[in-house]
Amino acid sequence: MGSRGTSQAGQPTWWASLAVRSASGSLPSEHRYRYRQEFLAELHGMSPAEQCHHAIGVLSRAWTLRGALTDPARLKPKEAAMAKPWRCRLRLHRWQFLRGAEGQMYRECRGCGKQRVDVYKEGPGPMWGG
Amino acid sequence: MEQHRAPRMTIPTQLVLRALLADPSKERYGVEIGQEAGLPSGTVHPILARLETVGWLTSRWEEIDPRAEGRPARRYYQLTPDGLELARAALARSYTASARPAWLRPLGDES
Repeated sequence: MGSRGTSQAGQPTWWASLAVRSASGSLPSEHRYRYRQEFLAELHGMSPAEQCHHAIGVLSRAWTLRGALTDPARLKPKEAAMAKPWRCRLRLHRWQFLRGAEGQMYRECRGCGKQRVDVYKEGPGPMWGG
Repeated sequence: MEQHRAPRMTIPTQLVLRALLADPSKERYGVEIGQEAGLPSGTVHPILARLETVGWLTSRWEEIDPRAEGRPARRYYQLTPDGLELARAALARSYTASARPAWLRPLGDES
């Protein structure tokens, strides 16, 4: 283990170790040990500059990792925006027309799953718009 | 473990899956996957956690003697057989969806 912020070749610096330990500290207790060991092991073999970059990245995404571990289905707003097709973000949905259990027509976007109900009572109409 | 729910196919998720599918038999650790996917540090672990939760990935500790190697064991990730098929299908769907903009399709082409 290096001291004074320097390290032998491939050994983690104390500040990088501290950063990834702090990152793992925010995780649920059942996952904390595993990720602490994983992050520390990944620091080995990196140069101090790479360790700095890696540690900052891990630390800055610790809350996202916590979210992924506690509720994998939930996406952060930024991730959700990235998951939505760009056409849908521009309201250029790809509608498909479906019939509900009670026979009513509705349309659903193939890209994002957005639904519109009771818009077209007489059947399909314009394909564009959101 | 939730085996039936597919992860949301965000662009970083697609990049991670492409990196893993480049050589599905090879086990990789987190930083290695991030480098191959071209993602910054820290981004890849939440994605790996989600993929592991839905059963597309499996992980294990590297079997080494830390004293002999001079470093702790790494956590290695690999696609499961189910994950391999589902990832290929999901990437194919995402490619098809983005390959041809809607306004370039002939009228009436709903595919």
